[in-house]
Amino acid sequence: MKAAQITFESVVVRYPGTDRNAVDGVSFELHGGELVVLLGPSGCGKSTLLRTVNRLVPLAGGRVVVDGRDVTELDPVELRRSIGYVIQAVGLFAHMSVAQNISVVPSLLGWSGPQIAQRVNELLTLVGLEPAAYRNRRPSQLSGGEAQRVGVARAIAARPRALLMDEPFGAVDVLARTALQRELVRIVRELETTTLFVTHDVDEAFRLAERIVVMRAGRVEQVASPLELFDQPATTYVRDLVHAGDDVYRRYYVHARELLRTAL
Amino acid sequence: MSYFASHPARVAALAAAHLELVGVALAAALLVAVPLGLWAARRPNVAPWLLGVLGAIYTIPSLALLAVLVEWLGLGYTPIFVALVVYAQFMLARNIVAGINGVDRAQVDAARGLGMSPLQIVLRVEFPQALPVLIGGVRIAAIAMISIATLGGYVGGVGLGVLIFNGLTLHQPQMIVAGSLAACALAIAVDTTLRLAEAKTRTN
Repeated sequence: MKAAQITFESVVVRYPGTDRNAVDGVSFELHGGELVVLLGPSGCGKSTLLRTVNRLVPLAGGRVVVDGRDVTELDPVELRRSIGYVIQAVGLFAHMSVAQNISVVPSLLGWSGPQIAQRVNELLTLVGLEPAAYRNRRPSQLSGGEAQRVGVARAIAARPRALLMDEPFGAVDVLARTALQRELVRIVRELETTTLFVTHDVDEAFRLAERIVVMRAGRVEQVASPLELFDQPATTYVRDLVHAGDDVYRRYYVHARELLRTAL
Repeated sequence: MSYFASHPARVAALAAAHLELVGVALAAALLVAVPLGLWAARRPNVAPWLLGVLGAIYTIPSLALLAVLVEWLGLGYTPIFVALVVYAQFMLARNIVAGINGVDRAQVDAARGLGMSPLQIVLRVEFPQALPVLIGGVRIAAIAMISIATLGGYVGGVGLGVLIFNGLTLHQPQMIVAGSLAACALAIAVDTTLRLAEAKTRTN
């Protein structure tokens, strides 16, 4: 599927029983094939905003437009099948094998058995797991990092036009996280899928993002490339968040970013 | 044991009828309890209320409930059948609710996000994982039902209760013993079978 163009237009979300908007008038755009990171502290509305794209959260105002169509005009189930979804808790189906987990969306879409089997092998290889060794394992037999690799494979199995990742590496240990970040950059480049990635980790945002959207209390503070964010912070909040002006941080960010893109 | 030796065919026929009564009542009870449990499990306000009502019904002594049902439905097969279906509800519904609530919320979130419809989430994610707990409920319900079903003999029904109550009326202890032992054997056999099924679904 062709990489999606996603537009947020003055998006407002309010949860029932609260007196504050969780997302309060957010507008920005993701271009086809781009990896954008939503960065901000817990409770700033970044996960909520991500979940408006596949309609897991209803809007109280504004529009979310995917490939020219307002998402509220689309059937939510069909919309979700065209968009990959990865969450921090992974949520692999415990009663299914690794292969069955990865097959979920292709089989919902009616792919044939041999087509699915071949795709499972491709995907396991793509996420760095040996198909013969992992295909028939149960989720309980995987490490945290391996489980999230399968989670990523499951999300991209049916070649989605967009990929939503909600703190996907937050529960993984540091070494596995760096490896996963490296794989993700490679996979997103290979698939050319528009990716929206949520994190509260500034370091992770700087490594992965083509552009970063800094959020705070439901609003956007700044949308910029990692280095623009560092060199031209729009608000004192952004400046403090990224330690703008501190050359040690700047060199570290640039280096970490390059390192992730260097083949080992 | 002399009644077993002298009337093996009669005991076997009554045991078969007993098992059939329990089996059919269990199937009917599941047809009610599974949809009811699936519906209630998703509703935090409803589930305790539903289980409270079913639990209260469960505490009614079986002989008393049967007496009321005979008053209403007459003698024979029907009152004991209805009593069994009613008693099983609590044990079945409680285990379905517990089984569904035991499914990891992250899996349900992932299932929704990947594009499963609400029905597909129930059938492909929640129900398969709740199944071992449900089978545990079926096992407990089946054993209780085998025991309660003997009361059917008292109201002109079928099954091993006929031997027990005829034995009481005719002062034939061997008939009572034969009926009771056969009911015990049925309960042990059913328990063992369902334990195996439970273990098998758990490892899957």
